[in-house]
Amino acid sequence: MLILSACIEQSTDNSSTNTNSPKSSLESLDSTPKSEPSPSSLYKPGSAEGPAQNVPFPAMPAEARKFTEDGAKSFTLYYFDLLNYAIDSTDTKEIERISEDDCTICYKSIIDEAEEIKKAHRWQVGGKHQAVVIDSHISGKNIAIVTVEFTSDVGKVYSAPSVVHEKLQKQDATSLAFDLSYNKGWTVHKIMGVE
Amino acid sequence: MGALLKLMMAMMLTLPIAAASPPTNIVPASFRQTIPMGLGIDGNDIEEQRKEQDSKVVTPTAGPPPDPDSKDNAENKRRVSNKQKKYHIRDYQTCVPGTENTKGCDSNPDQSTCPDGTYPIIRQLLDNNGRLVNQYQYCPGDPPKMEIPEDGRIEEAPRAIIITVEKFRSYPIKASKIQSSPNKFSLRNGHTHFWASKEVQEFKSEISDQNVKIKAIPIQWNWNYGDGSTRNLNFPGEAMPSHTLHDETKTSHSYTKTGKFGVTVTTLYRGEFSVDGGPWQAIPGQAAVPSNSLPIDVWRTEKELIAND
Repeated sequence: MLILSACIEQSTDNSSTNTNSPKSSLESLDSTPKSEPSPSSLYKPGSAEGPAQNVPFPAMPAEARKFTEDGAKSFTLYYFDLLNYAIDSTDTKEIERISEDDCTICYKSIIDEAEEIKKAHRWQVGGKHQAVVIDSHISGKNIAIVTVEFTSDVGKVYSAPSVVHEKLQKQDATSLAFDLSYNKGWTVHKIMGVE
Repeated sequence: MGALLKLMMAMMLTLPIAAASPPTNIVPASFRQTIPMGLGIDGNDIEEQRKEQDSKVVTPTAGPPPDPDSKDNAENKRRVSNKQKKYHIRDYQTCVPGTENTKGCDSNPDQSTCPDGTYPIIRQLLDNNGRLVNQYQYCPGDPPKMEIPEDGRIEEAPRAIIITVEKFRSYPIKASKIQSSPNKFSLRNGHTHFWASKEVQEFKSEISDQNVKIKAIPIQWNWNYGDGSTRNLNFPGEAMPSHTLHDETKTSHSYTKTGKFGVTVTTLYRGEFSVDGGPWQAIPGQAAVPSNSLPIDVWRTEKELIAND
């Protein structure tokens, strides 16, 4: 029965994350009095009507800068934060900075894709990714391999208000290994699936 | 006796007839089935990247291209094996059901399993620098996807003792014992309560003059009720002295047909080992140990008693 309940928990988790995460970032915005958010600077999630607005930029945790197994873990999870941020904002500046040039998946699945969506004046709602680290080790001089299991939610890409350009399916738990380099900070050398 | 049966049947009538639970759905962790697009990492891209990667990797066993002019094949082979790249191997286990508490992880109940019910091990191949070359799932006993000759392997630490899953499986790990209530007997559509034993087992071994302790820890009980239905649970169940056939329990099973059935449970054990009193280290992979069969005789009650009620 535990197996079953774990399954149910997971599926409810998936459906709730989408609504939870923008809420929590709203709350954190509200609790910082110094910025005095005017209604126009509040985060507005993307919808059928238009793309997300004022998407809060995720800050890199201090841990993610360290050359340790935990640092590599934290960095990899941060990469997923940036991916979700790119989905909302199509801003790939930071994710490009920490992705090495020959990282195929970094470019093909994220950076180039975001450029394309932006150029075509489309926007994506949903399709956010959630990752859990299942293995992390320093494998060489300035290299770490971090394996995650990730899922992604259903989503839609709109080409105009209420005009669905494409529907994104839910992705079931999939393992991915991140081959990272360290040079005054982590970068993604390669992302690889499990055969 | 007639009155007792009548009472039982009266109770049985109020029971919803439980359908045989379908076999646990094992979904292969294949991402080929889902084709999401848009912004994000999707299965197609992962696969394409893999193919690209595979074309770059020179499989060590592939050997040199045939050289028609070569008269000395052995010499040729040796030369190539000296030139070939060396690889590190790292095995690890994803979060498997039953290890959530020890590993502090969330398991995926739908992850694919090996033919014996155990969960595949992930093998990483790393080059000399520590770069990831390949990563694949394998089940113990599978033919290797990339055969690394002995001289192509980098020794992690000379003389380090590693207990492989094959070695772990060679220890005489005892199966769980199963019992039922009622004992070896049931009525059609009644809830027969089953439970299995749960026992951590320890073995001692001397490897390279060092004392090695090996622990086998049960994590999953895969039931086969003998009527075509199976169920995988991460707890063994327990004795319930006051159980009756109309009490559904977490480990009970309802037979929809009469007859004689053999019930078995295959217990999955994960392993840990400790060298000379050192820290316990996890062994990737599990051992699947099948139990003896428990015979269950399933009867039905007389129809006329139903009519009398």
